[in-house]
Amino acid sequence: MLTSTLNELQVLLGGLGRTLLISVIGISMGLVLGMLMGAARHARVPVLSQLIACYANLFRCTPLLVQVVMLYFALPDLGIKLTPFDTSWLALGLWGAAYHTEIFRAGYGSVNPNEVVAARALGMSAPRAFLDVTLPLGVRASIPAATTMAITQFRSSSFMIAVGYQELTYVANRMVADTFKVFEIFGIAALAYLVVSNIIAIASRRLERAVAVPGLGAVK
Amino acid sequence: MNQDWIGPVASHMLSGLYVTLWVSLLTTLLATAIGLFIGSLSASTTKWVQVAVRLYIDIFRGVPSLITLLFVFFALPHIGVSTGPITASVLGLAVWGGANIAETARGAMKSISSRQTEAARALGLGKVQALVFAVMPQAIRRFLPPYVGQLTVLIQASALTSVVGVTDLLGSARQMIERLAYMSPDAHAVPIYCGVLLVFFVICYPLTLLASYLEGRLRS
Repeated sequence: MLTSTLNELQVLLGGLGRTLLISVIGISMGLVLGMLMGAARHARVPVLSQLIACYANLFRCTPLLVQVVMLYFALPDLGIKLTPFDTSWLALGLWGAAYHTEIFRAGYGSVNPNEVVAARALGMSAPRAFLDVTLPLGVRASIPAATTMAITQFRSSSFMIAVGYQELTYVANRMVADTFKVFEIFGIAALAYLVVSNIIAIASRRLERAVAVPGLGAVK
Repeated sequence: MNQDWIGPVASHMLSGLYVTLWVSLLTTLLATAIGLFIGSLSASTTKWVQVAVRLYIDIFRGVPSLITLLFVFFALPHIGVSTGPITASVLGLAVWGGANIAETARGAMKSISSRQTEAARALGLGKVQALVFAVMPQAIRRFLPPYVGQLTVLIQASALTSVVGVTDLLGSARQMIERLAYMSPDAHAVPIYCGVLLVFFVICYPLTLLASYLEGRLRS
């Protein structure tokens, strides 16, 4: 009895590990792409800005689950075969990037335009002013919204059950089907998701406070 | 090029779309009812009610929708309630979506100054009357924009029902691709999944436009 419980915990822990792995890659990819594409949207780069807007709308207005299934089951028809692992992080990253793009665009847009005017008056070129003024301030302003999205990405990693990647929800679901311990196993899985979500939220608030510019915007 | 496959696929997916719309509608109605009820309870001054509301909102908002859905799907037969996968899915998604809508409602009501309640109470209205006649009519304008955003999330979440075997739009698409792959060399996975994406986009994109329109009107 005790050994079987320990075994189950070990399997769930392995699932949590794989959930964290695809989440870390997917969230990092989403953040980096979001900062870049948000910058292109902010600068209104012709053509590119419109293309990114289409990308963001398409990925935000269709279910992640359909995107995941499509990456895994339809791309082979076009000659691209992805493993469940690659599908998982790629889908999380591409989907998250669509939301992060809008988040960072709003963040860059919230920077006081006078700051940029001042930087330009000091002789900075427009790209320099973006990199040294708009980017650092805009990213700071985006931290709360980007964190909420990162946590959503983490929770949505459970959708990778659809392509058979053995993350936490997959192993929990498998175990429940085998053992019928519905309450215990889903309870542990739910707790794991709650704990990690809260760790991300707390870490983000610490980060926000640590990088806050004194006198610029109120930090809760 | 042979186009014969399109007819049967389209008619099967149309019945899948019908299930998707039905699940989305039921989930939306139920989640809205739960959300508004729990959200109103958050205005209660009774300690244990406040704690219960907080727990419900925080737990279900922090857990992946898929875990809630799978939990309800497996837990119902476990406690002796036998329902079809569609009913279980609707219940699971509504419990999860209800927590999100409750949080939106709670935030909207909290944003209304407590002086409004005090003024209504001073005019002789009871606690519930003050909530219904003074706070809620003002809160609804702040509630609507994020609520419409939640609706797109709920509609997209209906695709999760395919994980427990509901033949919704995504489920029907997968069935048809499997059949085509069995009968012919080409499963047409790319056009079929693109069709699924398109249907969701056509439903959700106007809703996101409506949400941002409502938000713009609120700000002005």
